[in-house]
Amino acid sequence: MSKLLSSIDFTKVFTPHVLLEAVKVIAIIVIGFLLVRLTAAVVRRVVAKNLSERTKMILQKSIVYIGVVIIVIAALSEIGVKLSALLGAAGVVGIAVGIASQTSLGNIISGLFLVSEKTFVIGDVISVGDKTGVIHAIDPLSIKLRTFDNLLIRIPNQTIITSEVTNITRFPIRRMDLSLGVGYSSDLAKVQEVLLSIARENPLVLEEPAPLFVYNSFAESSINLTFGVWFFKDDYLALRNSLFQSIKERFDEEGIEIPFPQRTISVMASGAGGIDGAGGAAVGSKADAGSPGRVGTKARGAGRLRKRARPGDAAEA
Amino acid sequence: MKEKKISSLAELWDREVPFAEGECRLWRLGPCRFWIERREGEWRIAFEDAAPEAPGRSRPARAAAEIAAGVSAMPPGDLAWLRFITGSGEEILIRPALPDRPVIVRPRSPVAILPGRSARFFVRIPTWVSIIAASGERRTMLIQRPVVRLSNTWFGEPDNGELCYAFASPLAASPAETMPTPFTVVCPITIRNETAGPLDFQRLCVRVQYLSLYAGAENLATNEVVFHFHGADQSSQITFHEEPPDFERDVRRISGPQVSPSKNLIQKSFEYIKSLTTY
Repeated sequence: MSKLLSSIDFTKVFTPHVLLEAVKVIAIIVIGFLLVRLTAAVVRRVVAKNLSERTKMILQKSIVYIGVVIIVIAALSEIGVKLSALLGAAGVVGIAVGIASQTSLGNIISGLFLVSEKTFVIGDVISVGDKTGVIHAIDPLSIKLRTFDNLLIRIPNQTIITSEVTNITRFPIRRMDLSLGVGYSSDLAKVQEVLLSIARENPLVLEEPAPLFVYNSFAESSINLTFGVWFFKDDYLALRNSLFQSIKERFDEEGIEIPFPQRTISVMASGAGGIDGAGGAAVGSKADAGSPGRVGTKARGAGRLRKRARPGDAAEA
Repeated sequence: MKEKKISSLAELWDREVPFAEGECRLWRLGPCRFWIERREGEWRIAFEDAAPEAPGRSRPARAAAEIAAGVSAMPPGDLAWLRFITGSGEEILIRPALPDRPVIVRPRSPVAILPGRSARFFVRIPTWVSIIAASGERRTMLIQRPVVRLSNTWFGEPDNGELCYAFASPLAASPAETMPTPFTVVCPITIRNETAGPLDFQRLCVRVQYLSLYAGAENLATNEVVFHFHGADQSSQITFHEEPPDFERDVRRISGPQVSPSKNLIQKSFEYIKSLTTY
């Protein structure tokens, strides 16, 4: 190594001309980078004042990438590299890279479409597939979501553009729909009045638009209904928790039951001795909309026993 | 605890109350109770949250008898105290304030104003309370809270409207008909129907941020608002009178508008039919 170094005549390598060229190249790089950063900052602050955060970011990054290419070309030109040959080689490399980076290009182009659509901005809460989170960053290739349990999810722009995206916080007010079931023995008019009074008494529920109350179905164990209240988007958690508490408390006070799935088990015996009767027994079951808490047995004819069962009663039955 | 009966607004509002170190005093304004305690270099304030005022209820607040202004009292032990480190200060100023959002007034009974006619109404709006630390000439706002917690409501389209407070109030013909309490403000409203058809509205948006607040001999009051109704599909022209309310005597101004209004504000002010109740 020392022999190699001693064989080099540094006075011939580092001639004043070479040193001058080196200074020029360094100056081009340093000044070029400063100019690029300055231009990007000015464009972001002044020119792009009325643009969205996403557009500003893409504009800024485009300026930086183009600037870097110009700086590299200028520096190479300064040290005497023939650009025509280089560009020819770059063309070939470009085709190869282009083929290899089809996905990336697709993402960039998808990103441009997303920008023009203005479906969301940084800070919005969106759902893509089964992922929900706050938009943390919008980049040329992807968007980054911060989930509510503080995970970062990267979703490629191409996925976004081909998926159904729900912007949860786009509009200032939303409706919270609660699906409820009440027992068949409940007074439905009372149920409606109780729910509407819960909405009236909760200050987070918007008085207008008015709450929605609609019956949905006569289900196996309950009469199902939808109770929807409008709220300001920032009040989601506070409202949801307070509503659940209020509904449970008021339903308990008013004796309105929220039934859970129930099943009536009929034990049929051929003899007259009930379930222990001689002659064997047939056991059947069918869905029943009976009320919880009314667990009991009822003999229906000789040898047939009907029991309303609830979870935990299996051993009893 | 001994509560003192309030005989005039001046005893309750805008009065500097001196505190000895370690002293605790109670204010009770209908449904709202709060304690203020002075400690070395700091103020401690605790609120007891009242049940919210449901918009459908007719009673604006509790009776005026349930009022106490700065009586010495020990607070219950389970209150959450807010601490304000102010350094110095021996006095507290309790001042009324207007709500921080527009208030939607829903008349209890329908009102129709015929074409070319105008009507003057008085509505009552619950105040907020400002707690201000006073030290010589210096005033430092510590906190503002509503005396009556009003329900939220939305005024306008679901994608483009305003978050407001809802309040059911009669459109009274005189301030005396509005169930006076020391913690509600009388707002005089004039509506001019400048269309060829009748004006039959369900809700009226009072943008209190443009109003000044005055204390009179009997009522807290605002300056007058005039709505010029030009049609259901057009925004209304709103004019705010700069003069103090003419129905009160011994009027003094407590605060100016939170937002300076332009001379003629054009904004949507009336709502007629519910449009968002469908599935």
